[in-house]
Amino acid sequence: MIGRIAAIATHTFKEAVRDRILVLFVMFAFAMMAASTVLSWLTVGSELKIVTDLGLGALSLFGTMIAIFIGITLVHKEVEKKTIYAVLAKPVSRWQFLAGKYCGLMLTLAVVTGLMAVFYLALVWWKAGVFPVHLLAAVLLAYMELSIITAVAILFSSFTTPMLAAVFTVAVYVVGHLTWGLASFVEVAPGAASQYLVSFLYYMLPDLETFNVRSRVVHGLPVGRGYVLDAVGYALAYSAGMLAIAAILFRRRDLT
Amino acid sequence: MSVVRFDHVAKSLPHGFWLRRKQVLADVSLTVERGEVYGFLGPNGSGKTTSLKCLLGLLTPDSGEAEIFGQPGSDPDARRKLGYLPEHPYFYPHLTGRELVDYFGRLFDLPGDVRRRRTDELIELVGMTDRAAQPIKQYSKGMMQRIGMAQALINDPEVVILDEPMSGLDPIGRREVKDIILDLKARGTTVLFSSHILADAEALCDRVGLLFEGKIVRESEVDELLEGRVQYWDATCDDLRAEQVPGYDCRATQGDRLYFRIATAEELERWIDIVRQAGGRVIQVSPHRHTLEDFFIGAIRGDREFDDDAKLEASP
Repeated sequence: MIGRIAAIATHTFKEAVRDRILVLFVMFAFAMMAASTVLSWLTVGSELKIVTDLGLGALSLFGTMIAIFIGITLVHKEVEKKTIYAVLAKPVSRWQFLAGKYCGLMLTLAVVTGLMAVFYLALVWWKAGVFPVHLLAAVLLAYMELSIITAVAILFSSFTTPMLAAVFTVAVYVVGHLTWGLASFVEVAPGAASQYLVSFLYYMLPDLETFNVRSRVVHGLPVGRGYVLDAVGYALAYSAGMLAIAAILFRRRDLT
Repeated sequence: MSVVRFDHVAKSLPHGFWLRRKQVLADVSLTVERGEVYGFLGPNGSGKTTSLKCLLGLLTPDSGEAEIFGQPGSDPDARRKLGYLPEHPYFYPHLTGRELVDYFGRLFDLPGDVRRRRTDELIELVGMTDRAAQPIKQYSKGMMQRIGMAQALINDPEVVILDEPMSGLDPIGRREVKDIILDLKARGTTVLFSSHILADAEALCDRVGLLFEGKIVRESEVDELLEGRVQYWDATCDDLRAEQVPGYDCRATQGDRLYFRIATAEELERWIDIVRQAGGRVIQVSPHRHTLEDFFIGAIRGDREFDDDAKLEASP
């Protein structure tokens, strides 16, 4: 079982890295990080903050774009191009297929995030003069956010077209960064029914702000180990939940 | 136990803008026994691919059962000893042929050395050794079909399901696929293949099932189907004129050579007598048997008086 999931994952990874679009995204991320050093000249005294902030922002943004861009097509492309028939005619169950796809994209994102992180940390190191150890936690959290986004993208891609999946995933991404607004809305929502609805949404949607520690690290504030572990646990649990729903939806789907 | 069993399988699929469900399979029942080569025949759009997808668990039947080795195809375990070549196979363009076969070997959890050995053997078998290192996006249709055949056999399957294995192949490719099927048969592998090309089925199959509009309209042994079913005789004689053979319609003359088409055995005997008595020479008498094509067209027409009809057409 693990062997099969690993086979699908390595295959997905291979497919992604042989695609030029991925290289393009990474180049853009590098360019944006490099541009942040130019921008920092415009400010006086907070050059390092600009580089730290924009660099981490670029890493997170391009990671998200790759996760959504590849995630939404992962399942659909296989169905569309009919490559899935030969795969699912093997002793591979549908959930293993989804799990393999997920792991493959997470592996791709690990490599891409790693590359971006090396470039980013080197840049900050060069600016600050000391190796920015505290940024490692921020990079890890950015990667954990990608694990949720990927799971959401795969969930949508398991039952709808890439276009709709993209819209839904971007919506979840945006709203996921605004869930604190929902929390305060629960208290002012009129009537019990709407309160239930809002709190239901609050618990269902991912709280992506958890993974955003930019404002802290920019100002040199530490991110506690307990906080990071909680966030990692949350990301793993949420992703697993999304994948479980995806597997249930995909299990009985007719592959015409 | 049958290797493959369809028991009253019905399936409708959403269709058109409003996704109204259209009946694709109405009632498919058939069994394929161990070691048999079964031809699953039917015109385009009759539901062959849909049936096979129900068998493999890619589609869930609305009613009825489709089983492999007594297990529903949706159970991954049922697919362990199965090889499948999809219709118009399309594989990952970024992989090379060898990587593709190896990938599918991994999906069977084959150990590394077995996988590498079988990959080499199969690539050789389908004649792709020179092309195995090329990315699939550079492959022609025929090459895709060949590599598809290789991946279908990677697990040394006990049953092989081939969806239109010969479509899009040139005569050499068809011949090679036929040879592979015959080779599988010789090794006792059960083969179920769909086709609308009857000559292939005639040459390869032990039994055929004829699917038309989502129903199995006839199922039969190929031998039984073709045996003893002389439709008419073509008869040729020399040294006579048409008037000397009264009661028979001469279809063509060439000098003093006459060509006849004769419907029944009795008429043929009488014809021979007449020719001899008139001093002519019988040059050739050749029976014209039913081909699978006749069977096919007859069955589709729902023609119960099929044999008589054929005779009628042939009568002088």
